[in-house]
Amino acid sequence: MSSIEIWLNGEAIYVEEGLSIDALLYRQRLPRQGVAVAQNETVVPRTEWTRPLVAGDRLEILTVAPGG
Amino acid sequence: MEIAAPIVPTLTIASTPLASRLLLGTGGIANLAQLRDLIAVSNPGMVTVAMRRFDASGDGSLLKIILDSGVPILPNTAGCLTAREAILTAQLAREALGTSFVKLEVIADEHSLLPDPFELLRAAERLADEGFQVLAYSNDDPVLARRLAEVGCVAVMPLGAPIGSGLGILNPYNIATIVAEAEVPIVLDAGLGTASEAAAAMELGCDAVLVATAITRAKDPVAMARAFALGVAAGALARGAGRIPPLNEARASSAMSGRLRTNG
Repeated sequence: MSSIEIWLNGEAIYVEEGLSIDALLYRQRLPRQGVAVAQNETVVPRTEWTRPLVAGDRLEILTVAPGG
Repeated sequence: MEIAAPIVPTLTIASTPLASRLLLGTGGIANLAQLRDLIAVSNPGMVTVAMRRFDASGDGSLLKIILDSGVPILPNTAGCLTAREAILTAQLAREALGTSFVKLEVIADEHSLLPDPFELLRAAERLADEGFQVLAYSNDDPVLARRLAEVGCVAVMPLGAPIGSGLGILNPYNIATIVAEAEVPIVLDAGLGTASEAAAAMELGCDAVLVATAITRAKDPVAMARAFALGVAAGALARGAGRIPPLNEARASSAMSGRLRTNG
Protein backbone atom coordinates (compact mmCIF):
# COMPACT_ATOMS: atom_id res chain seq x y z
CA MET A 1 0.00 0.00 0.00
CA SER A 2 1.42 3.38 -0.95
CA SER A 3 1.83 6.17 1.54
CA ILE A 4 0.76 9.77 1.21
CA GLU A 5 2.06 12.94 2.76
CA ILE A 6 -0.31 15.02 4.87
CA TRP A 7 0.15 17.93 7.24
CA LEU A 8 -0.88 17.35 10.84
CA ASN A 9 -0.91 20.53 12.93
CA GLY A 10 1.67 22.09 10.65
CA GLU A 11 4.02 19.08 10.47
CA ALA A 12 4.40 16.77 7.51
CA ILE A 13 3.76 13.09 8.23
CA TYR A 14 3.34 10.03 6.03
CA VAL A 15 0.33 7.76 6.37
CA GLU A 16 -0.98 4.95 4.22
CA GLU A 17 -3.41 5.86 1.52
CA GLY A 18 -7.04 5.51 2.54
CA LEU A 19 -6.43 6.03 6.28
CA SER A 20 -9.42 7.71 7.94
CA ILE A 21 -9.32 10.68 10.27
CA ASP A 22 -10.67 8.42 12.99
CA ALA A 23 -7.85 5.92 12.47
CA LEU A 24 -5.29 8.71 12.47
CA LEU A 25 -6.62 10.01 15.80
CA TYR A 26 -6.33 6.52 17.23
CA ARG A 27 -2.82 6.09 15.91
CA GLN A 28 -1.70 9.45 17.30
CA ARG A 29 -3.30 8.54 20.66
CA LEU A 30 -5.54 11.57 20.48
CA PRO A 31 -8.65 11.73 22.65
CA ARG A 32 -12.10 11.68 21.12
CA GLN A 33 -13.63 14.21 23.52
CA GLY A 34 -12.81 17.89 23.61
CA VAL A 35 -11.08 17.91 20.24
CA ALA A 36 -12.14 19.08 16.80
CA VAL A 37 -10.67 18.48 13.39
CA ALA A 38 -10.37 20.78 10.39
CA GLN A 39 -9.41 19.34 7.01
CA ASN A 40 -8.10 22.02 4.64
CA GLU A 41 -9.65 24.77 6.76
CA THR A 42 -13.07 23.15 6.93
CA VAL A 43 -14.41 21.60 10.13
CA VAL A 44 -15.05 17.87 9.88
CA PRO A 45 -17.96 16.87 12.14
CA ARG A 46 -17.10 13.80 14.17
CA THR A 47 -19.78 11.84 12.34
CA GLU A 48 -17.59 12.22 9.24
CA TRP A 49 -14.30 11.17 10.78
CA THR A 50 -14.50 7.95 8.75
CA ARG A 51 -13.61 10.08 5.72
CA PRO A 52 -10.28 8.96 4.15
CA LEU A 53 -7.32 11.31 4.08
CA VAL A 54 -6.08 12.61 0.75
CA ALA A 55 -2.48 13.43 -0.18
CA GLY A 56 -1.63 17.01 0.73
CA ASP A 57 -4.44 17.30 3.30
CA ARG A 58 -3.80 19.92 5.92
CA LEU A 59 -5.31 18.75 9.21
CA GLU A 60 -5.69 20.93 12.26
CA ILE A 61 -6.60 19.14 15.48
CA LEU A 62 -7.44 21.54 18.26
CA THR A 63 -8.28 21.17 21.91
CA VAL A 64 -8.63 23.43 24.92
CA ALA A 65 -5.68 25.15 26.59
CA PRO A 66 -5.49 27.74 29.36
CA GLY A 67 -6.27 31.17 27.96
CA GLY A 68 -7.97 34.41 28.85
CA MET B 1 -35.34 43.69 62.78
CA GLU B 2 -33.44 41.81 60.13
CA ILE B 3 -32.76 43.40 56.79
CA ALA B 4 -31.96 41.09 53.91
CA ALA B 5 -28.60 41.91 52.34
CA PRO B 6 -29.12 43.36 48.89
CA ILE B 7 -28.09 40.90 46.21
CA VAL B 8 -26.61 41.54 42.82
CA PRO B 9 -29.22 40.94 40.11
CA THR B 10 -28.47 37.99 37.82
CA LEU B 11 -26.92 38.75 34.46
CA THR B 12 -28.24 36.76 31.53
CA ILE B 13 -26.29 36.54 28.27
CA ALA B 14 -28.03 34.96 25.29
CA SER B 15 -30.66 33.35 27.54
CA THR B 16 -27.99 31.86 29.82
CA PRO B 17 -28.24 33.14 33.41
CA LEU B 18 -24.78 33.52 34.91
CA ALA B 19 -23.87 32.66 38.50
CA SER B 20 -22.02 35.93 38.92
CA ARG B 21 -20.79 38.96 37.03
CA LEU B 22 -17.15 37.95 37.21
CA LEU B 23 -15.92 35.96 34.22
CA LEU B 24 -12.69 34.09 34.86
CA GLY B 25 -9.96 33.70 32.27
CA THR B 26 -7.68 30.71 32.68
CA GLY B 27 -4.63 32.29 31.01
CA GLY B 28 -1.64 32.16 33.32
CA ILE B 29 -2.92 29.60 35.80
CA ALA B 30 -0.10 27.91 37.68
CA ASN B 31 -1.70 24.48 37.58
CA LEU B 32 -5.05 22.76 37.34
CA ALA B 33 -5.51 22.37 41.10
CA GLN B 34 -5.23 26.14 41.38
CA LEU B 35 -7.91 26.58 38.74
CA ARG B 36 -10.27 24.46 40.81
CA ASP B 37 -9.61 26.72 43.80
CA LEU B 38 -10.06 29.91 41.76
CA ILE B 39 -13.42 28.70 40.52
CA ALA B 40 -14.49 27.72 44.02
CA VAL B 41 -13.65 31.05 45.65
CA SER B 42 -14.76 33.40 42.86
CA ASN B 43 -17.94 31.66 41.65
CA PRO B 44 -17.43 32.89 38.08
CA GLY B 45 -20.26 33.36 35.60
CA MET B 46 -18.20 31.81 32.81
CA VAL B 47 -14.69 30.40 32.41
CA THR B 48 -12.66 31.01 29.28
CA VAL B 49 -10.29 28.67 27.48
CA ALA B 50 -8.13 29.04 24.38
CA MET B 51 -8.14 26.60 21.48
CA ARG B 52 -4.72 25.24 20.55
CA ARG B 53 -3.20 22.51 18.44
CA PHE B 54 -3.34 19.23 20.32
CA ASP B 55 -0.18 18.53 22.19
CA ALA B 56 0.47 15.23 23.89
CA SER B 57 1.21 17.04 27.18
CA GLY B 58 -2.48 17.87 27.63
CA ASP B 59 -4.51 15.07 29.15
CA GLY B 60 -8.00 16.53 29.11
CA SER B 61 -7.96 17.57 32.77
CA LEU B 62 -8.47 21.25 32.05
CA LEU B 63 -11.73 20.56 30.28
CA LYS B 64 -12.80 18.08 32.95
CA ILE B 65 -12.28 20.57 35.78
CA ILE B 66 -14.38 23.19 34.02
CA LEU B 67 -17.14 20.76 33.04
CA ASP B 68 -17.23 19.33 36.57
CA SER B 69 -17.59 22.83 38.01
CA GLY B 70 -20.79 23.37 36.07
CA VAL B 71 -19.66 26.86 35.02
CA PRO B 72 -20.43 27.60 31.35
CA ILE B 73 -17.28 27.34 29.24
CA LEU B 74 -16.36 30.23 26.99
CA PRO B 75 -13.84 29.30 24.30
CA ASN B 76 -11.90 32.17 22.81
CA THR B 77 -10.10 32.84 19.57
CA ALA B 78 -7.06 34.33 21.28
CA GLY B 79 -4.07 34.86 19.06
CA CYS B 80 -6.00 34.94 15.79
CA LEU B 81 -4.76 37.67 13.47
CA THR B 82 -7.42 37.49 10.76
CA ALA B 83 -11.17 36.98 10.53
CA ARG B 84 -10.46 33.75 8.68
CA GLU B 85 -8.38 32.30 11.51
CA ALA B 86 -10.88 33.41 14.13
CA ILE B 87 -13.87 31.97 12.26
CA LEU B 88 -12.21 28.57 11.85
CA THR B 89 -11.10 28.56 15.49
CA ALA B 90 -14.64 29.37 16.62
CA GLN B 91 -16.07 26.63 14.43
CA LEU B 92 -13.60 24.13 15.88
CA ALA B 93 -14.41 25.26 19.41
CA ARG B 94 -18.10 24.69 18.81
CA GLU B 95 -17.41 21.24 17.40
CA ALA B 96 -15.03 20.30 20.22
CA LEU B 97 -17.02 21.68 23.14
CA GLY B 98 -20.62 21.67 21.96
CA THR B 99 -21.15 25.33 22.85
CA SER B 100 -22.11 28.17 20.55
CA PHE B 101 -20.58 30.73 22.88
CA VAL B 102 -17.35 32.26 21.67
CA LYS B 103 -15.22 35.08 22.95
CA LEU B 104 -14.12 36.53 19.65
CA GLU B 105 -10.64 37.98 19.64
CA VAL B 106 -8.91 39.14 16.48
CA ILE B 107 -5.72 40.96 17.32
CA ALA B 108 -3.85 43.31 15.02
CA ASP B 109 -0.36 42.22 16.03
CA GLU B 110 1.44 40.22 18.66
CA HIS B 111 2.92 43.20 20.47
CA SER B 112 0.05 45.54 21.25
CA LEU B 113 -2.48 42.66 21.27
CA LEU B 114 -5.06 45.29 20.38
CA PRO B 115 -8.15 44.18 18.48
CA ASP B 116 -8.13 44.75 14.73
CA PRO B 117 -11.54 46.42 14.36
CA PHE B 118 -11.99 45.60 10.67
CA GLU B 119 -11.20 41.90 10.92
CA LEU B 120 -13.12 41.71 14.20
CA LEU B 121 -16.30 43.15 12.75
CA ARG B 122 -16.10 40.90 9.69
CA ALA B 123 -15.63 37.79 11.84
CA ALA B 124 -18.38 38.84 14.27
CA GLU B 125 -20.92 39.28 11.50
CA ARG B 126 -20.12 35.94 9.93
CA LEU B 127 -20.16 34.00 13.21
CA ALA B 128 -23.41 35.62 14.34
CA ASP B 129 -24.92 34.61 11.00
CA GLU B 130 -23.75 31.05 11.64
CA GLY B 131 -25.62 30.99 14.94
CA PHE B 132 -22.77 31.64 17.32
CA GLN B 133 -23.31 33.59 20.51
CA VAL B 134 -20.50 36.03 20.00
CA LEU B 135 -18.96 37.98 22.87
CA ALA B 136 -16.66 40.34 21.02
CA TYR B 137 -13.40 41.49 22.58
CA SER B 138 -13.25 45.08 21.42
CA ASN B 139 -11.35 48.32 21.67
CA ASP B 140 -12.85 50.90 24.03
CA ASP B 141 -14.45 52.55 21.02
CA PRO B 142 -18.14 53.42 21.31
CA VAL B 143 -18.64 53.32 17.55
CA LEU B 144 -17.07 49.89 17.15
CA ALA B 145 -19.04 48.61 20.13
CA ARG B 146 -22.26 49.79 18.51
CA ARG B 147 -21.36 48.19 15.20
CA LEU B 148 -20.56 44.87 16.92
CA ALA B 149 -23.95 44.86 18.59
CA GLU B 150 -25.63 45.72 15.29
CA VAL B 151 -24.15 42.70 13.53
CA GLY B 152 -25.54 40.40 16.22
CA CYS B 153 -23.01 40.04 19.03
CA VAL B 154 -24.68 38.99 22.28
CA ALA B 155 -22.18 40.99 24.33
CA VAL B 156 -19.42 43.47 23.68
CA MET B 157 -16.23 43.32 25.72
CA PRO B 158 -14.29 46.56 25.58
CA LEU B 159 -10.78 46.56 26.99
CA GLY B 160 -9.89 48.64 30.01
CA ALA B 161 -6.24 48.61 28.93
CA PRO B 162 -4.04 46.32 26.82
CA ILE B 163 -4.20 42.61 27.67
CA GLY B 164 -2.14 41.70 30.69
CA SER B 165 -1.01 45.29 31.33
CA GLY B 166 -2.75 45.80 34.66
CA LEU B 167 -3.14 49.50 33.88
CA GLY B 168 -6.82 49.59 34.85
CA ILE B 169 -9.47 51.53 32.95
CA LEU B 170 -7.56 54.02 30.81
CA ASN B 171 -10.60 55.71 29.30
CA PRO B 172 -13.54 55.64 31.70
CA TYR B 173 -15.33 58.22 29.56
CA ASN B 174 -15.38 55.82 26.59
CA ILE B 175 -16.52 52.91 28.76
CA ALA B 176 -19.37 55.01 30.16
CA THR B 177 -20.32 56.07 26.63
CA ILE B 178 -20.35 52.46 25.44
CA VAL B 179 -22.54 51.51 28.40
CA ALA B 180 -24.94 54.41 27.85
CA GLU B 181 -25.59 53.37 24.26
CA ALA B 182 -25.48 49.61 24.79
CA GLU B 183 -28.29 47.34 23.72
CA VAL B 184 -26.35 44.22 24.71
CA PRO B 185 -24.44 43.41 27.90
CA ILE B 186 -21.07 45.14 28.21
CA VAL B 187 -18.26 43.13 29.77
CA LEU B 188 -15.11 45.03 30.72
CA ASP B 189 -12.32 42.79 29.51
CA ALA B 190 -8.57 43.08 29.78
CA GLY B 191 -6.14 45.39 31.47
CA LEU B 192 -7.39 45.36 35.05
CA GLY B 193 -4.82 45.05 37.81
CA THR B 194 -6.74 44.93 41.06
CA ALA B 195 -10.17 44.53 42.59
CA SER B 196 -11.04 48.22 43.01
CA GLU B 197 -10.79 48.59 39.22
CA ALA B 198 -13.38 45.86 38.79
CA ALA B 199 -15.65 47.75 41.17
CA ALA B 200 -15.02 50.91 39.15
CA ALA B 201 -15.96 49.11 35.92
CA MET B 202 -19.25 48.01 37.45
CA GLU B 203 -19.89 51.49 38.81
CA LEU B 204 -19.42 52.83 35.27
CA GLY B 205 -22.31 50.56 34.34
CA CYS B 206 -20.59 47.52 32.89
CA ASP B 207 -22.67 44.36 33.22
CA ALA B 208 -19.72 42.13 34.05
CA VAL B 209 -15.94 41.99 34.18
CA LEU B 210 -13.57 39.41 32.73
CA VAL B 211 -10.27 38.88 34.53
CA ALA B 212 -7.41 36.49 33.90
CA THR B 213 -3.90 37.85 34.41
CA ALA B 214 -4.72 40.10 37.37
CA ILE B 215 -5.84 36.99 39.25
CA THR B 216 -3.60 34.25 37.90
CA ARG B 217 -0.38 36.25 38.16
CA ALA B 218 -1.12 37.88 41.52
CA LYS B 219 1.16 36.87 44.35
CA ASP B 220 -1.78 35.02 45.91
CA PRO B 221 -4.15 34.18 43.05
CA VAL B 222 -6.83 32.60 45.25
CA ALA B 223 -7.04 35.65 47.51
CA MET B 224 -7.11 37.93 44.47
CA ALA B 225 -9.90 35.87 42.88
CA ARG B 226 -11.99 36.39 46.00
CA ALA B 227 -11.11 40.09 46.03
CA PHE B 228 -12.25 40.46 42.42
CA ALA B 229 -15.50 38.62 43.15
CA LEU B 230 -16.18 41.03 46.01
CA GLY B 231 -15.11 44.04 43.94
CA VAL B 232 -17.47 43.14 41.14
CA ALA B 233 -20.33 42.60 43.57
CA ALA B 234 -19.58 45.85 45.42
CA GLY B 235 -19.47 47.81 42.18
CA ALA B 236 -22.70 46.28 40.92
CA LEU B 237 -24.50 47.09 44.17
CA ALA B 238 -23.12 50.64 44.20
CA ARG B 239 -24.20 51.20 40.62
CA GLY B 240 -27.70 50.01 41.45
CA ALA B 241 -27.80 52.03 44.66
CA GLY B 242 -27.22 55.30 42.81
CA ARG B 243 -24.21 57.29 43.91
CA ILE B 244 -24.45 60.90 45.04
CA PRO B 245 -23.45 63.42 42.41
CA PRO B 246 -19.94 64.78 42.94
CA LEU B 247 -19.87 68.40 44.18
CA ASN B 248 -17.04 70.88 44.15
CA GLU B 249 -17.90 72.08 47.64
CA ALA B 250 -18.57 70.62 51.05
CA ARG B 251 -22.09 69.84 52.19
CA ALA B 252 -22.56 69.20 55.92
CA SER B 253 -24.11 65.89 56.77
CA SER B 254 -24.92 67.02 60.34
CA ALA B 255 -27.48 69.75 60.93
CA MET B 256 -25.81 73.15 61.29
CA SER B 257 -28.58 74.47 63.52
CA GLY B 258 -28.59 73.86 67.29
CA ARG B 259 -24.84 73.79 67.77
CA LEU B 260 -23.39 75.13 71.04
CA ARG B 261 -21.37 78.30 70.88
CA THR B 262 -18.53 79.43 73.14
CA ASN B 263 -17.29 82.95 73.74
CA GLY B 264 -14.24 82.94 71.47
